[in-house]
Amino acid sequence: MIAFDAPAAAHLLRRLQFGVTPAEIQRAVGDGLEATLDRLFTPQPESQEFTESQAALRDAAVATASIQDLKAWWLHRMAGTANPVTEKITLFWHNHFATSYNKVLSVPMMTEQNDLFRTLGGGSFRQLLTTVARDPAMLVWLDGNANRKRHPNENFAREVMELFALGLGNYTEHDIQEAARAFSGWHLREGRFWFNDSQHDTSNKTVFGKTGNFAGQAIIDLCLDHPACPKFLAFKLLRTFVMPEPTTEAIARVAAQFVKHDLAFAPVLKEVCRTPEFYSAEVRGTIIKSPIELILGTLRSLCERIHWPAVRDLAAQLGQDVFAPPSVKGWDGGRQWIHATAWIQRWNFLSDVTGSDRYGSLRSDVREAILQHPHDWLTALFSAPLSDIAKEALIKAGAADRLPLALSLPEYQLM
Amino acid sequence: MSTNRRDFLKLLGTAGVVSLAGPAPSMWSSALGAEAKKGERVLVLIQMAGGNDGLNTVVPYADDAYLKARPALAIGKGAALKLNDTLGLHPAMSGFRDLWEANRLAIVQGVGYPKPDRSHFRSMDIWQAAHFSERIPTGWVGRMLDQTVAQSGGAWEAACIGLDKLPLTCLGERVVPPTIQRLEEFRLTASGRDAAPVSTAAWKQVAASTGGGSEIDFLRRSATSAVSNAERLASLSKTYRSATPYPSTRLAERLKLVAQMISADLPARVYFVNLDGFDTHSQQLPGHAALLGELSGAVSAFFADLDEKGRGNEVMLTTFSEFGRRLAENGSLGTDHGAASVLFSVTPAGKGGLYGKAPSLTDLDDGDPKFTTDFRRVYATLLERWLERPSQPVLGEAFAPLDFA
Amino acid sequence: MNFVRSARVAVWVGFASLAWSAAGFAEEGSLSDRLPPGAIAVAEWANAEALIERVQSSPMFKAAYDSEPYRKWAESGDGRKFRGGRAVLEGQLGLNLWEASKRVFGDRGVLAVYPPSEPGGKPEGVLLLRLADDTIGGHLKSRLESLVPLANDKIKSETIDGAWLLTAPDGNRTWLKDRWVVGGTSRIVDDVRRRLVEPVSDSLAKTLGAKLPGAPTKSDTALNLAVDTGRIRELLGQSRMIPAKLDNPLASLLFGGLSEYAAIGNDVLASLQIRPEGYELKVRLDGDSGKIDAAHKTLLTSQPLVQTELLPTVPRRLATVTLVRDWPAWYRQRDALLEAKVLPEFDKFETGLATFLPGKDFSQDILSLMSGPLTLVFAGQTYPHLPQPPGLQLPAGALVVSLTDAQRGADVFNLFIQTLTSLTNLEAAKQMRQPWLTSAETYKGVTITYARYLEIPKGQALPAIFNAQPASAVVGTQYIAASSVELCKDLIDALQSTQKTATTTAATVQRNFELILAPETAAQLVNANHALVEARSVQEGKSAEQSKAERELLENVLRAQQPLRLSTDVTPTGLTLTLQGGWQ
Repeated sequence: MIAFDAPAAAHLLRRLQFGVTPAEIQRAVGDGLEATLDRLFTPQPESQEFTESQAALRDAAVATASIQDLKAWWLHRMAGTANPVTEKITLFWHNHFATSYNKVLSVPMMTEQNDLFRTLGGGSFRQLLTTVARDPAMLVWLDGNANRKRHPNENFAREVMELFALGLGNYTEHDIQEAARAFSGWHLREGRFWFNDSQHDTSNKTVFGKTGNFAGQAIIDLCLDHPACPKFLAFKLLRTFVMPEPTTEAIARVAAQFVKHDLAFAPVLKEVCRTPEFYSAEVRGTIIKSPIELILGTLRSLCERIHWPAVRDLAAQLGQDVFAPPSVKGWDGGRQWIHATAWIQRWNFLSDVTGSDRYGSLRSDVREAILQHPHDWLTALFSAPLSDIAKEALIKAGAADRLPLALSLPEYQLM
Repeated sequence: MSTNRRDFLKLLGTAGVVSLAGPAPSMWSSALGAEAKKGERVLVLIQMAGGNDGLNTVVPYADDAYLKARPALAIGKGAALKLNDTLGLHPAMSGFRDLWEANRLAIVQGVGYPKPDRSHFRSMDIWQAAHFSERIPTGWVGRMLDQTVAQSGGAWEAACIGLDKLPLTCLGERVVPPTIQRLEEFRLTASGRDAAPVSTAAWKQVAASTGGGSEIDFLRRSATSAVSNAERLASLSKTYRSATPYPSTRLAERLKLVAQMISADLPARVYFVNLDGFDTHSQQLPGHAALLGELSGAVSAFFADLDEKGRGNEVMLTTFSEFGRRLAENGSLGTDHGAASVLFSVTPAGKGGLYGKAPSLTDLDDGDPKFTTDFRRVYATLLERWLERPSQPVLGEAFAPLDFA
Repeated sequence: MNFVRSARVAVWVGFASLAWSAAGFAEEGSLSDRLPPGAIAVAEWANAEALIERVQSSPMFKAAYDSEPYRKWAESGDGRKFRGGRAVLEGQLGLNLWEASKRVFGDRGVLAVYPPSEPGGKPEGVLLLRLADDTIGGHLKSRLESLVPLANDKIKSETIDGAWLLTAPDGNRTWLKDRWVVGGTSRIVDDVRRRLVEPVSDSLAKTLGAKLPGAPTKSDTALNLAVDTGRIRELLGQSRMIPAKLDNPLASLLFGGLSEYAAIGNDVLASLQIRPEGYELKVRLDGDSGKIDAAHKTLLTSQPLVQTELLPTVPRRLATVTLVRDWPAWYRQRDALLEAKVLPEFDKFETGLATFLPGKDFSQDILSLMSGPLTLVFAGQTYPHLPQPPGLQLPAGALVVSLTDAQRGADVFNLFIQTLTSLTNLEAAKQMRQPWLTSAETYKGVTITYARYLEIPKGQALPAIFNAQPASAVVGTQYIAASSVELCKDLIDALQSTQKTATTTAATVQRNFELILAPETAAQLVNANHALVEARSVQEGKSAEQSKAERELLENVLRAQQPLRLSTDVTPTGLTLTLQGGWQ
């Protein structure tokens, strides 16, 4: 039985959206866990203001072919949408199939890939992987055109196994070399996927001990049917949404869910969110916030009139430059986010949130609301109860210093 | 405090070249507070990220198998900077040739490990961790530092230059060295208040508290040291200049910073510097030449600078890369991920030369030359012979050192 | 410009603005006949009331008042102080500031600046106002008199012959009756008071005041200014007030001739007329053309003006800039026009140019091909060759130069463009963009060489690069290099029309520089790119609705502007600068 009290609701919302406000917590507690999950996982109508402003930002990015504008569009979308789970899942797949504009060099292609994650990300991984394998940005990113019959390029075949579907240790170098031949001729022409049959190797391949005249799709299917696939997805889901170091038992449980749901992502995530384990102390407040979680979460909870170019540049400085992950491996996350430079930048951002308009303006009611309802705000801002020392320090601090001090505490970096 | 070190610390202040990253428990406190031991040996590691093509770096120009496998990419007899009758350096590496002629360049051939992994990430993890287990939490320099933390209370430290995150090599159980980029990144803004919240006594008291899980513990430790580093660095000023001209490359800038830190007697004994871009899958010739030129030019300027300051014999510099490239070139005028490769060590005068056996180019393992020298022997050499630390606790087993140190 | 030089210029400008205006007009004659002679600068204005009223009622002014920056300023510390001070003052006066300004400054005024009475002293200024109505003087006195004691008796207040006389300890004195005199010393204020009662023959109106250009009319606002630069130079003991060498090549090329006349000329005479339909500022720099050195003469060449503009307008014109210069001589003598520190940039430029024109020397082979006017034209586009406009609509640009040898000149410039196209194609291949193919077509007997795209992508917003379709043509001796075929054709039309009229009209004006800006086209571009303009605003955290409103405001402000024209003409004794514009 899950006690869906305010801290539990706050925990659920923190993991499924970007930051949380006392009002959202109150609503979730009032609705109860099931209704809240149903709402979060069912498409909600967007406001007119959001629809118009996101369209303006997106049109501008596409019209000027500016990736910087596209980054601003997506960040704005993550923070403003009525469907945050969709954006969280989109960001999850962007990190999973980490593709960078720095090589793709095409805003339309990056946009198309992002839309793909948004429309297919919550559904079956079968369809997602099959589509991503033919996605133009991915073909550029992993050198599809360089993979030719007599000069196979292993880049895509390797990452399908290592990073997309199976994980290390579930395949051999030989599997990769053979699979690469199966993907030969998967090319890009005039900006679209094109099967170049003159460059496709039609001889037999042996992958995972099975031999046949495999085409690329057959390899994808072999990977999808591989027993490591649901485990790998379970590991990645858990690490992103649940705990930094997934336990073997948790992986096994979630992998079974993936098998049950035929690798569909959102239904499994929803299942995970209704298990008692999800609300255990071992899970709450154990994830170090990514730059985007920190920035968007803070701004969503506290600010208005957000200055998107500044937010975008800050996220990049802190190490999470969307549409430009550091490598195909994506962002490592966890403790890797934190080094002393990051600390300074994170604190400086939090200082600016309360003391300047650089990233957005503190909502006029926030300061007062925090003084009026300190407990509600502590629940919204902190993922675990603060120590007595910390509470005492906050009480002693002057009214104006309370929020800046709270945000600067190491505890605020956890979710 | 020695004059040099004071000058360096001033440099940190205004030149704005340094930032600290990482929960750096004691480096800066000892750097700024305690008297450094002058003349201790220093190791500089250069990571050639992406997998350097060793065959086009130290070129077997007389080997038919090489010429045949690389009809478009082979560096011919006329172009290579000859080291002997069979080997030559890439033509962009005249600085390394000079070091070779001064008998200071050690070339270790056929370096690799059994069952080579061709994934960048996995192979880099293996090189950095010097370990083959699936989950590798620490790197070999980090483990060495952990030992000395236990034994001597933390006199040994390392610094990582020009990376945005800490390399696994330097990550220990207890020790997380700083990464250094620019000083401005270390300025705490108060945004209209008298002081940044983290500079207040209240914050420090809360951050010093204990309890909670391992993540909060990690955050408190790293946050506390970040604050103290930032506060110390905030008071430093003035510039320091080097007389030796460095090329205007990123690697040269980083090595110049290292030279300044060394001549300022900072207590770091290991510096980790990254040079990226060696994943030359296509159109390899121009890009690879530029990278090797950057390496050679920066390293020779670095040693000229150290020699000028009389510190050249205190420093060993060693390069490494996660793997070499395939013997055969690919269809896009590039080379794909391979296995064994060469590495360089610039050693105090007299120890230059060839070490390890060059692998055969006709007896291949899955298209790659077979390794002849386990990379951990190189680490053992650096640990035992240069840094004078026992290698077995760090590497897990005993490896025979080579003679370049 | 270095600091010392900037400071000198600032002093000069300061003189000019201090000196702004002093000249009685109309039935009373110039007010300057009530001022003593010997001023180094004098400015006189009339009918300021009409101007104040127009500013007050202008929609642009209201827009500025509603704008975000103004609101921010108004809420800032400075803004609050200003508003507070204004409220106190208005309360004290019992008038709002607009009304007070109209009644005090709205009629006539003259301001004169005199050299220091003793060496090393400060220049002395005196302001004489003819108040707009009979009662305002008394009103001001009655309202402000009570404030005087607040200054702790430091200000001496007297009433003499119904006039109010105030004297500050530092000698500043003001006298208020139906006129208002403000001056730096009691001596000068008293001198003017005497002259108000009984005019003296040796007045300023007879000396510098006589040079004031323009005559006041009943309804227009007018400002006339005369500055005796020769005298100022003499007083400062300097042979020139602006250095001969500038440190900004573009500024030198555009305004080097103007600044040389200002530096060595005798007088600067200006008149500003503001009428309901627009304003016109004329500045005459008079001097001895014989004193201009050979280097600066290259900047002072001119072209006879046969129509109202050197180059007839093109449709959707955004801007035209024409420079008439002796190009090869100018480049050869750049050492005498520019500071040494900027000269290496030219060498770098020449090195860079060698990439595009291998084996050619910029001065010998390229500039020598050009003579007389060089025109840059910018205009909006309609994209007749594209299925839909690009996502970002940019104006087309073109360069029109007069060639000394049409064939040879066209060859060299075409070589440049072809090389540029090839290099762009190499880059396009790397970035997966469409390459350009060189093509040709004939338009009204002129061959246009242009680049077209291999393919135009369908079903998506076209990238901004589709704004460009480089084209070139030769019309007579004029070479056109345009960024679009459309503009190239429009320029061919324009040039052919000048050739027809050139022989029939006799030119009276020698034009040296011409700049025309059309805000209407700018408004159209804002409109064409409205989605992008609004997106910028949304990025800054504004709502979609507010962003739209602000964009519409910007468009309206631009539409309210009439075209702005700035030109310089060479006269036998100097240069005349004319600025014309207007707003609704």
